[in-house]
Amino acid sequence: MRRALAFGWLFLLAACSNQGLNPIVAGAIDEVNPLGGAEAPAGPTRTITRDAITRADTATIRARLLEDETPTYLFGAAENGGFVTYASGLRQTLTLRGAQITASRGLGHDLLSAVSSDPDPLKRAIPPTSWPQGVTRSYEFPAWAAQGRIETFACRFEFGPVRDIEILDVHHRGIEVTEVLLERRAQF
Amino acid sequence: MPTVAIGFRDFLGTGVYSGEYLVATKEVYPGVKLTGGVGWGRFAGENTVDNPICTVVDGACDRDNDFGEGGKLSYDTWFRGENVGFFGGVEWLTPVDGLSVKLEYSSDAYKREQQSPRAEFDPESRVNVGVEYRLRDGITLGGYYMYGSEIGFNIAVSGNPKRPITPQDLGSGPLPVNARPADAPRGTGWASNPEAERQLATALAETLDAEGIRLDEARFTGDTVDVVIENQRFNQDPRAIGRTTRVLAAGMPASVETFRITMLEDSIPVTTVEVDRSTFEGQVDRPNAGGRSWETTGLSGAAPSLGPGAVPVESYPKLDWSVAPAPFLVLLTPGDPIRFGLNLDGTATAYATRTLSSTVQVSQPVAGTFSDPGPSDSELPAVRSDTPRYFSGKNMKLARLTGDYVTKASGDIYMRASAGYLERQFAGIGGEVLWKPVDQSWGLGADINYVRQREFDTLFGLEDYDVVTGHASLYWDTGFMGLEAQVDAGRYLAGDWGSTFTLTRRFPNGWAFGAYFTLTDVTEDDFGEGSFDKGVSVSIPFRWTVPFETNSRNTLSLTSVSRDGGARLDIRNRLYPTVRDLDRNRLERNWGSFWQ
Repeated sequence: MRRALAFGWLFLLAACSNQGLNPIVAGAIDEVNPLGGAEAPAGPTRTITRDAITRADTATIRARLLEDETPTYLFGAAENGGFVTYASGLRQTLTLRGAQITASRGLGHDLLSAVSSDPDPLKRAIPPTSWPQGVTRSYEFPAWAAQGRIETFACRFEFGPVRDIEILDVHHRGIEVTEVLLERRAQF
Repeated sequence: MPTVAIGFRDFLGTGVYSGEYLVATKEVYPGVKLTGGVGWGRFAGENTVDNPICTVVDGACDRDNDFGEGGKLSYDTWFRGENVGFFGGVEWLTPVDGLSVKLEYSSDAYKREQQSPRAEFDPESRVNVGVEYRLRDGITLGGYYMYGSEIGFNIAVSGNPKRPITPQDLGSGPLPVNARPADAPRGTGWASNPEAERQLATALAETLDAEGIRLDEARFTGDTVDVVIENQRFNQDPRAIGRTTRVLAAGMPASVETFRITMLEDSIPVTTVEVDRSTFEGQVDRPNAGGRSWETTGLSGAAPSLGPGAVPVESYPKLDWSVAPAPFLVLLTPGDPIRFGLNLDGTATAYATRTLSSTVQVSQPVAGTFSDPGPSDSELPAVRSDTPRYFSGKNMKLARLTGDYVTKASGDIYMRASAGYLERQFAGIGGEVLWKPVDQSWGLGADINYVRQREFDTLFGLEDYDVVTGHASLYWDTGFMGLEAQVDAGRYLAGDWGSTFTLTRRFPNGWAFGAYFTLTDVTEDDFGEGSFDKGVSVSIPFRWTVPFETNSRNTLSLTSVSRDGGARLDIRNRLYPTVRDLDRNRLERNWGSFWQ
């Protein structure tokens, strides 16, 4: 028997063509800097401040992966039937319905869509005294089909203490509420 | 209960290493596993007892070790022989995470290795020891001391095709889009202004280019826009279709109600996807949009061109070129068991039009070069058994120099004509036709070629041997577990007639495992070692290994020794592999990515 094997892709990284570098290298560069060097803002990175957001007059949210220390700022970019999509400078996107995240792209594993039972205080603000005992949430994740893979979780609300938090120089006071899965362990 | 396994070794080769075994493993103490087994054939060399099967099956004591040319299932020798041997071992999973120590007793006597008068191998010990360290999931390093005299090392890389080795997707998201305002002007006057159409096409091309999608041409009417695109970035074509739809939704005048997106593969318009804009706007960002959009999206075989009124974006003639290092590794060639090295490959394709092109590919050996091994001793015309000669030496090789015309006769019929130096070993002229409707799970194809063998030591010289070769082909996507069957019947390079049977499992993420065998009127003796041609292949998408989008892939082949029976021309741009991924079945399997 003879085995003809093809070869370490690291070598391919050295390839080039009339379309530029090897597609893998180009892809990596595009992901890290999708705007390209010519359009990238010069000078040190600006710090997002409350004043800047106020001046921009654009809905802004801050998000980060659990394992990341630095948050990403995403700005309102589209609204479709109550679903608002926020996009970052690197074209990561989050879609929210009210305060419920219903989709994400480029922030960890993609979430295609999400639905929940009514009433859901994340979808529509409800005074804490009127919250239901729990909520059922269904998440759609990518699958090898037209329809994604649906995972459903039943959760109950646990009310904690009143807390003060500060988001970009603005203080907020509220009740801390935790959602606890009823049936199985999961993290998302 | 212990874990039990039954195994067969060298059951399809020459039989030199053949053996069968029954083995059991049990964890007898936390972190300590004991393994014990009984074996036949090579496993029955030492520490043996009489084969118990002999007492109940006539002739089970006889084990014929003459396998002829090999390459066939040697089931008539399984579990036979006068004796069976016992072997065993112990594995200790040490407190160091990922580190294990192994010790084994081997019952292989290595008699064959000592039969030759020149043999020097004489194992001093039946006990072997080893250490393995799991560097990370899927990568294990090993070191071994064997036979009481030898040391060895290995690296084992493993993975699950369904589970990418990168933990998460760091790619950019799609363009956010809004539905058109109800009061948006819906006039269509813009569509009769050539300058407006040209500016629109240019803007579309620039926006799509940022997505890794090339716009070839576009056509605008008041309520419909047709675009012809080539996906240059995404591993899943529906993702490129979805991104294009979003760009059109964001940039087209409000009067445009229908998007028709035609996908190019290797410059061939394959499939046209029709999206109703209002329906799309009602689905974007909503739950379960993948399934709903698949039900409302139209698919059809693409027309050969957009016809009159199209705005060309890509200008012809144009030149594409690339230069890439090409390391190679060839194992188990008789007389040269391991060979590795590096070539530098350069390819240039000049397109006169989208359908007419000329390609030249050269390969310069850089490292690992070897001398001409001389002609083969094949009984057949040496159409493949001289393959090493075509890779020998330090001179630059002309791997390909062809003129190609690839087009469609209709939405379902594809055609290709090629002439020139078609591959390293043959030059000539040939043509191919494929009938493959988008909505159909099967297709038919045929190719015919007249070729002459090339000289192995010159760039352009030709040998005297010539042949007419070609095949009729049936392709069928079974719809079961991603299995795809292919049957090719016809005349092969050595003038032999027969058929090739191929079964491939294709995963939606781009992985593919295939196996094939070829039966022709060449006798086993004339074919030589292996008896008949067969092999397996694995295709791995790079997207599986990196956390961002790329549609690059690599294909690994494990084939028989290059022999002359059942050999086919190595044509780079065969039609079915080019258009395969854009039919209804395959698009549906990946359609969820339309919204990614």
